Amino acid sequence: MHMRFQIAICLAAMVSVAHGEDVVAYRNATIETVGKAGQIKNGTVVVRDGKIDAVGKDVEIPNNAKIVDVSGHTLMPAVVDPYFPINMGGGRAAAPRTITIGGRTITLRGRGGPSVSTAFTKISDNLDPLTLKNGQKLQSRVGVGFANLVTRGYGQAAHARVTPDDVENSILSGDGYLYVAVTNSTSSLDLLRKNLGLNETPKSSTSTGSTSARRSRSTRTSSSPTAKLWTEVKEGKKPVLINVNNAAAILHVLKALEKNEKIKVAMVATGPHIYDTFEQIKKRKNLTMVVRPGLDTAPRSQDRINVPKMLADAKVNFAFSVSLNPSIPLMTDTPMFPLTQLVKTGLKRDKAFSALTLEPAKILGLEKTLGSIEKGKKANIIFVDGDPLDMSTRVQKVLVEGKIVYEG
Amino acid sequence: MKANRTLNHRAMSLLALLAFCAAPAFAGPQSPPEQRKRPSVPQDKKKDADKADEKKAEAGKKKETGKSEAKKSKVTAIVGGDINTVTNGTIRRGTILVEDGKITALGQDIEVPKGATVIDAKGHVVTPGFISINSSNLGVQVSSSSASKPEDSLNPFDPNVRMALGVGITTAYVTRGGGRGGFGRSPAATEEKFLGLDPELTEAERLGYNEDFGNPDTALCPCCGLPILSTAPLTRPKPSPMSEQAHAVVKMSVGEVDGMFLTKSAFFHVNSGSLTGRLNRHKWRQTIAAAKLYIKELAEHEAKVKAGDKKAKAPKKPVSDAIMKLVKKEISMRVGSSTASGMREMIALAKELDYRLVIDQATEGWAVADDLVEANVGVIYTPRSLRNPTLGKETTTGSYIAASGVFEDAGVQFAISPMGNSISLMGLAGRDLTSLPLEAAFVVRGGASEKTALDSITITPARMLGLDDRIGSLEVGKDADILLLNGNPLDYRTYVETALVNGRVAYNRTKDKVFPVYDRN
Repeated sequence: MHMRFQIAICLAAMVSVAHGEDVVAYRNATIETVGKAGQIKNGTVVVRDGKIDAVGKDVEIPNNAKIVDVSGHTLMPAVVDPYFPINMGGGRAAAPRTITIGGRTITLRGRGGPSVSTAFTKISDNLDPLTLKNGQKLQSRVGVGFANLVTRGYGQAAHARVTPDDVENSILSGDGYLYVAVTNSTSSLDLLRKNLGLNETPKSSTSTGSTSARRSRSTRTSSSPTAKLWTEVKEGKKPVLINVNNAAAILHVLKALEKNEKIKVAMVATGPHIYDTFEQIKKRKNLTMVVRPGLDTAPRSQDRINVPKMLADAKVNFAFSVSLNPSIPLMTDTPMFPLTQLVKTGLKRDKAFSALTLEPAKILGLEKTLGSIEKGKKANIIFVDGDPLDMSTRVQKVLVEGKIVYEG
Repeated sequence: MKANRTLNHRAMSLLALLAFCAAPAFAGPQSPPEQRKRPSVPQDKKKDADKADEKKAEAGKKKETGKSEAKKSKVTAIVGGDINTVTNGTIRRGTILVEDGKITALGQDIEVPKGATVIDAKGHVVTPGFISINSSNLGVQVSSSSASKPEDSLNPFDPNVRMALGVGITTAYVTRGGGRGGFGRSPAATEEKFLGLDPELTEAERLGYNEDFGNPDTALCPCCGLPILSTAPLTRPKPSPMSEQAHAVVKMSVGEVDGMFLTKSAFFHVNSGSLTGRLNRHKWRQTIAAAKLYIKELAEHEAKVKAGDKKAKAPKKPVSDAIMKLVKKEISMRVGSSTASGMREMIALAKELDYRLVIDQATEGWAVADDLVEANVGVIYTPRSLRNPTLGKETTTGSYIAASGVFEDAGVQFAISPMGNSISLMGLAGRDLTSLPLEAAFVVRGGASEKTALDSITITPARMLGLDDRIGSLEVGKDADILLLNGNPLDYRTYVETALVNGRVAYNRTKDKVFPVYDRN
């Protein structure tokens, strides 16, 4: 039965490639739409030209459609990763040192804390999409259909789709939202505060050389495209993705943001840091937390905590970023395992799914085309041979814009 | 994951060991979950807690019906403790009211307002929070560069902050630490990694261990094969005539950035090297003269502007803000000097140039106690520090166990600091910063009164820092930095049960588990 299935799927795939067929109907599936329809049993999804043409129980299948029976399978939207970190070169803060002992020069390898660069990086200008296949591992993330690419420091994110056979065209747009890494230091907090006009007090008359230099720098950049991006964030038109590396930084950022309730923030933080600052996080409006799916350990303790459940119970918006969870290896066909743990320990099933797909799409402003199996959206679909949250099931197939990008 | 597992193993084996040692007391090693349970609260305390709860509930009911004014701002009442105010004696079984982070009332006949949160302090000694006047690696990254401000690097989640509060330190004067692998644990402040952007922390990094040994990344010496340890640059930094020690005074407000930062110019803090030698002293005299001239010129300029002269040119400030404050006697100079002769030099210079002075590391201060009093110079010292006397001057040099008594008799104002200025886990009741109250007990052993000993970690350092209007004693209008202790603050058996910082309960021994919780009776 199982073998026959796979053969059927393979055949279907081959046929569709060979004929350049545009319309495929997947029949008899359990569909986790993550949309208004919720879960549909024995449903059909019609995919046309990379988009979802129809979803439902009694859907009319077009005459030219290739029909694929996927009974026993569950279909869910492919994962949208709102924060996929890539390495753009450039290193850590601590540079290697050379010292001389007895006439010999020895190089010591540099170590040190995280670097907080204040240089602007537009991802799409600096990224060779081919590296997404090997170096950056995006194309080896099973289940992810769409990713928002970011890097250390700050800059403008890029949108990418996971299409291993067409890596050259995987970058869809270079005009993503601003991302910025912030820690509890003056230079990195000032990056936010100055660009978003959140300075505590307008500088008094103490006119030292450094302040005047700073002023001239800010006027110089006010007409640049970077300044335009910041202005959009300031006016609440677009969100900013902020990665904070400790609990104190969360407080510092929230304190700075108090001045402007309009600013929309997606904040990337670890579970323990969120746990420590939970009371303050709850107070902030226009905030979506980006967390890694999985259980965490409470700070200063060995107790396990379910931070996504805490966020859901407190009605704080949150989205998952699977790439942030190191326990989800590349090429694994069970990417939902950490999600299963969360659902088993109290996170609601529909919350878990939407945090993986629709919520990230909302952060990125792409909820009209991504994040659920609904008519008109991109056909980014995961096929699982059973309930995705059952530990014995495996991802069998992933579609991105209607094309098969993975087959198990 | 790996790190957690190893830790778990360690914790479990420790527990097993404990259980083995105390077999009759515990259920036995075959039931580990039982051992993890905290021993129950003593009966009378439980009753008190229940009563407090009842009171709270009652108050809540009344609030609902009566809509009292307490709704606007929350009042906390600390009831029934023996309150050692430090400045105004002890109030037996008194009440302290706290509102908006300040003490609003204290005394024996204070009525607790409706709706107030009641903290039962019966059987407890209530004191102001202690002040550590010498600390590093504690809740803030202090940097000498002007681009990095301490108020932006506050880290109320630094585990050291909780540890410090656990021994009663509510305010700390923090200077730049000695760097990695030093006496204390590495600060957690900005060393944490960015999620996704940086590699995951190793266990050693998370716990602050020195990783240089046994680390394959550590370069080995080509001659002898020993690891080359990461060090500060080997060449000494160029001696600068007057290098100011950057610092920040912060509160141990665990988990709360608001109200944590107090000031970054509490002292004009310099190293003694910058005031020794003729050349340095000459430069220092010139600096002070320039500052005084500037004050004069500025006054003249202001007079001119007032008179209507708009073209008058404002004089340029020749020295740093801290030096200006020093000259105006708003802050004191803090300089380290451990020898009697060195202290005499510093005192003479302070008298000549007319500024306030606090001498740090004043081990031989007892030998110049009269000079210190005469010049009204305060000292910071460590009662347990040891310094061998100079050969031939045994009676006037070296450390002296009775120095505290000498200081008290002469009337020298002194604050104390333990031997280490950062928190080290090896230091439970040892020599690190967590032994501050213990060090104060050695003031008593040295012949001074208990009052002086408690002063030396509360009001005296507060006065030196110029913050005695806010901290250092329990008085109406001062910050509600309050400790509930289960005994005499100078007793090594005493623990801090509850600590309030800015009126908020920031530490609770039972909940925070920084120090062991067990039933002594």
